[in-house]
Amino acid sequence: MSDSIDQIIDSLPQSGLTVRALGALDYIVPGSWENLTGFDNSIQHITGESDPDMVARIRARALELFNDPSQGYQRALYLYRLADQVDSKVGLAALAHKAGESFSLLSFLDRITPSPEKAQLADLAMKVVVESVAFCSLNGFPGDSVSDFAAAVGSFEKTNLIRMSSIIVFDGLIPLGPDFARKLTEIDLSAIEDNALYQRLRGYVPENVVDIVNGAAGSLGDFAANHGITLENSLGRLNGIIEFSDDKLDYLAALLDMSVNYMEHTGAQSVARSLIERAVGEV
Amino acid sequence: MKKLLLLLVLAVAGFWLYRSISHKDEAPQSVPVAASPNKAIPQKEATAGSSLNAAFPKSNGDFVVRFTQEKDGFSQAELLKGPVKMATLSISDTAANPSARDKFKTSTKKIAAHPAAAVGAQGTALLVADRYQVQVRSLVQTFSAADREAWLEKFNLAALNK
Repeated sequence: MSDSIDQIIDSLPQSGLTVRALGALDYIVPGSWENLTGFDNSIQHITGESDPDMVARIRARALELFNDPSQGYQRALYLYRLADQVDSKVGLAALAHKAGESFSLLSFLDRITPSPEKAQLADLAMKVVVESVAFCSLNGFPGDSVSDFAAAVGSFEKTNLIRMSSIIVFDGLIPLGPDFARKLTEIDLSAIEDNALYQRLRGYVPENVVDIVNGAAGSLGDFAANHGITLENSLGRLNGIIEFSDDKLDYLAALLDMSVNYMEHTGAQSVARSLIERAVGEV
Repeated sequence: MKKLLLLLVLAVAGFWLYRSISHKDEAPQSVPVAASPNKAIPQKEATAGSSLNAAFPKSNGDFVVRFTQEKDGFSQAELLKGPVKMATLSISDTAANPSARDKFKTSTKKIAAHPAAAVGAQGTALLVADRYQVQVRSLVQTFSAADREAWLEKFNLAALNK
């Protein structure tokens, strides 16, 4: 897979399971997410510029900014990608654990894989952390005060509502149930230290990682309540896209972990947006 | 038969997973290398973004100025009227991208006594102290070129001219 942002955006799929799963969540924030693909197309859409020479200049500056690691855009992309890669392993681990529970022949799997609930809770916690760290990598610390910063986060969330919704539905409600936010408020460091994503992220995350998670739990719960996100209506929308039965949600959660790359897909789109918005300000 | 195959696959996957989980001490994977060689741009010499913030216009009446991105040599805000994003406001230090100054050399236009130029079809910019590019970009059709010029004049350009 390419590591250059223009090629990544050029090759983002316009259909497939990830796009359909994201589309299923459109009911939460209708019309807020458009699957912007193609780097030049994204430039035109975000800046309103269509002159090829102008688009080329914005593209060149965006790539200069991306190719300088100190600007943070590469790091944000890495974090979003890593979140989905580790996610796939969590799904596989959950399936292996279920196999261990179901078949005595494979009971050893039961012992060597973490319980799905524990793994999924740690995974949700790390998604929240990735979202926070990626925000700062992309946008710095905008403004001069805490309220400026909070307003900037609010604005970013608004353009990234689909990813917030996906975190809540795919990594909160489905694997952990309706009280996922309460479970998140009770998490402590011991619950996430073994998480493979945490191991990989140690160099990037602040020391108060548990505070970030506990603090974000309330916001996620409020977001779900304010937008009427429930397990029932989310499952209703996913039905028809993925085959599952309502009493096997742990299998559904594992399947989503392994086959839906929403963090990487929408994360790459967020990186491109921040880059393009800055590039047009600098050309 | 299919079931047996599935069990075998799961067993192998489980073992592989066990091995990957037990290798916890491995060093974090480095950030991926960009397809083009990584190259630092001269951003380090650029003015800190936080120093640029002071020159932005303040929220006023129906209009709210909300900062959205701040890096060395660059600061950006959005201009909202109610829930609608009307425009983006930005200041960039052209020390990090000197070619941005070229368009001002060929332009005879001035705004607030500073050289000014169009940036594509949706943006208007001026240059302060031959260094700082201040730009306003329309995000909706109702925010006209005249609105962009009016908002450029609301920046505290003297703060950049020191």
